[in-house]
Amino acid sequence: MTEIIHVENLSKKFINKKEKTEVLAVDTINFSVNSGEIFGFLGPNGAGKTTTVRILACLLKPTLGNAIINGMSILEDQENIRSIIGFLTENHGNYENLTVKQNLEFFGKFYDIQNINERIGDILEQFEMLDRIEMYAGELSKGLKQRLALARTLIHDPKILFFDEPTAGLDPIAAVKVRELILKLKSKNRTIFINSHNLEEVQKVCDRVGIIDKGRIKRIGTSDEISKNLWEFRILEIKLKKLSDEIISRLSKFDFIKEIFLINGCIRIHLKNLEEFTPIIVEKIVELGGKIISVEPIEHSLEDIYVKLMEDSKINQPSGEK
Amino acid sequence: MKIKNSLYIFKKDWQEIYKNKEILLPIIILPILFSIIFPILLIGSSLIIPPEEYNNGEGLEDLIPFFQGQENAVLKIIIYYNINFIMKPLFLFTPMILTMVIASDSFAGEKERKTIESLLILPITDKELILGKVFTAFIPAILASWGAFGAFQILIYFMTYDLIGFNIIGFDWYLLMFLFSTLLSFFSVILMIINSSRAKDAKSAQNVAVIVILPVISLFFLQMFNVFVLDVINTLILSGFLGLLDLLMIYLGGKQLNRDRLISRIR
Repeated sequence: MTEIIHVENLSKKFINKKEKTEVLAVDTINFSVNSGEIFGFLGPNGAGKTTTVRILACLLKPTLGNAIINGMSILEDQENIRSIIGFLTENHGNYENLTVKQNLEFFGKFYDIQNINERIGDILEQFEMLDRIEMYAGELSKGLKQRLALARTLIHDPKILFFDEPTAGLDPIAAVKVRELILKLKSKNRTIFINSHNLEEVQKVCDRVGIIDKGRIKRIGTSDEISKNLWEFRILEIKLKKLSDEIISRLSKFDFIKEIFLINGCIRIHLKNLEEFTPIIVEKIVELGGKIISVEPIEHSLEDIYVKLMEDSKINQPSGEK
Repeated sequence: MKIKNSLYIFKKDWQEIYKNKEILLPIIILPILFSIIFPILLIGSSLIIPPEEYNNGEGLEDLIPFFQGQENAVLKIIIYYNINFIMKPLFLFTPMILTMVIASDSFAGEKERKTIESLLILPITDKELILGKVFTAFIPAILASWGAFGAFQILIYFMTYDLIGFNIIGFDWYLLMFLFSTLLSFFSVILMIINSSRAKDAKSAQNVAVIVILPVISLFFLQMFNVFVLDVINTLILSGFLGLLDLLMIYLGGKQLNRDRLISRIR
C-alpha cells in the first residue's frame, strides 16, 4: 500500500499574547495513512485531534514539522492540497439562508467540475435529496443537514476525506447511513481520516486507529495490534455443556494460566499465549469428560483500549498536573 | 490571483444578505433617508418657515454672500446653506454605515453561523478570500451611496433650480462623493473586516465603528458652524490623508488577515 498522508514531527503551539500563555496543542507527532485506508483518530476533548486535522487540511500552519499529502507539502502547496481533499467539519457548515442547490453550486464552483448542474443532480440523487433541491438549508432536519454537508464535501469527488465527528448529534438511523457511506467511499478507494469520540463507530469502520492525548500520539495500529501491546494476558472463553468443579480446579493448576473464573456459565481464562496453550486446555477438558460447545478468544474492544490508555496516561501524569 | 473566486464569494454573501433583514433594511432605508427624506424635509421647511424665523438669514449672508441683493435672497441662502453645509457631510454616513453593517458580518458572521471552516477549506488563496469579502461590503455600499447621490441631485435640481437659477450641487460635491467618500468607505471596510476576523460575532465586530463615525460627526459640526468647510481644496487635502490611511490599512490587512489567524480564534 502506498502512503498518501505522511506526518513528520508535526507540532502546533498556540500563543495567547493577552494572557501571555502558550499551549502546545500538537507535540511532535509522526504517523502515516495509506491510500484507500480508513484511519480513525481518537482522543479526549482538547487532545489535539481537531488541530491536527486543521493542519493537514491546510487551515492552520504548523509551528514545526511537515506533512506530505498525496506528494505535496502542507508548507508549500496549500491550494493544491485543498483542491484534492474534502473536509466535513464538526458543525455541518451549510449556509442556512441558501437553498440546497445554491449551497452545492457555491462550493462546486471552486473546483474544475465540467457540468456543475449535472454533478449537483447526481450527488443529490445519491443522497436521496433531489426533491429538496430548492429547500433552504435552514429548513432541513438535522440528518438532512448532515447529508447536505456530506454532499458538499464530496461535490468535487475528493481523493482524501477528513471527517470531524461525522455522526455527532445524529439519530441512530442517520448515523448508520453515514457509516454506510463511509464504507462505500472506501470501496471506491478513497482515503478517509475520521476524528471521533465514538469508539463503536471507529471500531466498526476504521482499518487502523491513532490514539492521541495531550498532543502526543499514544498508540497507532489496528485494535488487535494495540491490544496485544497493551495487555500482558489475553482472554479465552470456553462454553461447556455442563460445568464441573473438577474441571475448574484441574485447569487452575496449570502454571501458564494467570486467572480463571466463571461468567454467565462460561469459563474465562487469562493466558499469556493463546495460540500455544489453547490446545492444551481443550485437550485437558476433553480428557476430564467435559463436552465443549465453543472456544473463543475474547478481544479487547476499542473502548477497553481507549479507557486503559487514558487511565495509564493519568497514572503517568506528573504530580500537580490536572 | 483569480478574481472570479472573489466574485463567487461576493455572490454567495449577497444571496445570504438578501435573506438577512438586519443587514438588508439599512441598505434600503439609508439611501432613501439621505437622498429623498432629508432633502425634502430641509428644503420643505425652508419654504414653509417664514424668513424672519431664521433671523432674516443674519450671519449666513457673510458665509454665502453671492445671493445678497437678489429677490428671495434669505430663502436662497438658507436653501444653499442646508444643501451645501448640512447635507454634504451627512452624505458620508450612507457608505460609512453600510460598509460597517456589511463588513462587520464578513468573518464574524461566518463564525457566528459556524460556516467559517467550510469557507476556509476552499481551494483559494487568502487574498482571493479577503478580496471577496471586501467586494461584498464595498461595492454595494458605494453603489447605494452613488445611487442615493444621483437621486438627491435630481430631486434638488427640480426643487431648487427655478428659485436659485443654477445647479447648487457643484464640483465639490462630486469630489466628495466619488473621491473622498470612496476612500472613506474603503478605510471603513478594511477596518471592519480586520475587526470582524478577530470578533466572535458581528455585533461585537462593530465596536470599532466609533473610530470612523466620530471624525465624520466632527466634520458635520465643523462644517455646520463654518469652522472647516468641505470645499474643493479641503476635500482634496482630506482625500490625500485618507488615501495614505487606506494604504496603511492594506498593509495591516495583509498582515492580520490570513487563514491561520482566522481559524486559531475558533474553538
